[in-house]
Amino acid sequence: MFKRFFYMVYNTWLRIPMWIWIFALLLPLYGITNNFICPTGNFWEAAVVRQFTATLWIPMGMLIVLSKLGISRVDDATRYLRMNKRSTIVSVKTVSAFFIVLTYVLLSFLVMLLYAKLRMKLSLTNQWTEITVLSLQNLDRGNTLPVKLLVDNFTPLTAFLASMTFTVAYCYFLALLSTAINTLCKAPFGSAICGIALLSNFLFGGYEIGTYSFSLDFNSSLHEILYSNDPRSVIAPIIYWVILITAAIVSYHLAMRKADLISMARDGDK
Amino acid sequence: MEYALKVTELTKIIQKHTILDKVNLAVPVGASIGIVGRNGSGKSMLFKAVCGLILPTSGSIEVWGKKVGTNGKFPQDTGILIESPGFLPQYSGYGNLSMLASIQNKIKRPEIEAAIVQVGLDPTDKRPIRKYSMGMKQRLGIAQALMEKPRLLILDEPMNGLDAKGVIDMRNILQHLREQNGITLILTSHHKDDIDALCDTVYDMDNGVLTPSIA
Repeated sequence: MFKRFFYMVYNTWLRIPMWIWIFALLLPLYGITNNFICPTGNFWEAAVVRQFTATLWIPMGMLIVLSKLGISRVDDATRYLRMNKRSTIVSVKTVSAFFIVLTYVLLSFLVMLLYAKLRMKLSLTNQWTEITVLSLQNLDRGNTLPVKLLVDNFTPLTAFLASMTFTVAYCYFLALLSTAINTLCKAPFGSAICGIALLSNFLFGGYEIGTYSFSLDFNSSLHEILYSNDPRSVIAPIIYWVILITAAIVSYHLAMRKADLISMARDGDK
Repeated sequence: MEYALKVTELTKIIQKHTILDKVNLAVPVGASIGIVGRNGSGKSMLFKAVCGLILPTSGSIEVWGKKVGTNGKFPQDTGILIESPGFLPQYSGYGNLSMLASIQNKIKRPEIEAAIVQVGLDPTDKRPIRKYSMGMKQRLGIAQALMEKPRLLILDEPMNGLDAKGVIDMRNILQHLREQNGITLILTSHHKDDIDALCDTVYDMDNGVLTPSIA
């Protein structure tokens, strides 16, 4: 059973061309060169402070990698029929999306880490530096409590890992949402809509939206979460992501039940 | 009489265009049905509806007595070849079929190899699919439809891309499957000879309307 499922997921993976992976991985690198100008400190704390864990470039790249997930072609019929029912396709694609998102986020960080280490000569020391603590205090407009909570409860590495977990949740939610829209539209509109929303958020008010506790940005930034001054508040975003991801999976199920899997225009035959 | 496929009043309307217009079709077990019609007449759409890939606007489809389509289920015990199968170009013919077979996990290596041999290909050929000719890909497509020994075989233009010898081989294979295994066959072809050689009953499809062919 496990082996069977593994093959179905593996098959979905193999259908993403290598050049898409490479292009999508270059986007976070572009983000880091634009965003990551702090020459001091270490990689882990810079990643947390600069929040390139979950802002624009990683989700954008992920949307490119998964732009075709949910769009079926007549070629897929031979595999689909062997899955017996549409809900199996949903399960396979839901699991595939998770592993692709996880791989993409890990590879993005690996690329960024290599760039930071080799090009920017940043260290990998797992220690908070004074300059980072001060800049965080400045970001918090003199409120020292969130910084204290961050420094007392997390090392730069664990803060980075916690941020990365939220990044994965953020990307996974977007992946499922765009897949559901792709299924309904039979075109990569889901990825386009989510991409435009991310870009608009980034360009026109992401900072303001990011301070609302129900926004995606807020719940994917460890620093923002700690802004509520309670380390237990980390539980709240976990519940938040579970609810959103579950809603996205349900939407995908509903889309799959109602949609034709094959676009007529694509096939040429009437 | 037991039917392999029963289509009742099947209508499909997409953007106000009637693609399938109250199609009725009953295919008894072991029968061989041919559907002819020009490009765009709705033949492939009918096959896609039978496979559960598109949902009917109205009407129903039953394969082996079980409803397909609106309940989210695909037909069971059915092999299909519609246009081109989605093979992975970097894998060999055996590698591709093996991966497809692993989805249902009903057959093992000997059955996969036998299906490849049956269509005249070499199961030990290590070349990736991207180096296959059009005809070889088509043969492999037929092998994937046959390998799990389905009771119903739906083939859309199975002779496309085959050379003259390939067409004769394929006719012989399908004929053999009918006679020896009692397989139910539904196929479309542009070649009247294929239809005449393989089918008991022939239907015409025109503008989404299916009618018995007048010889």
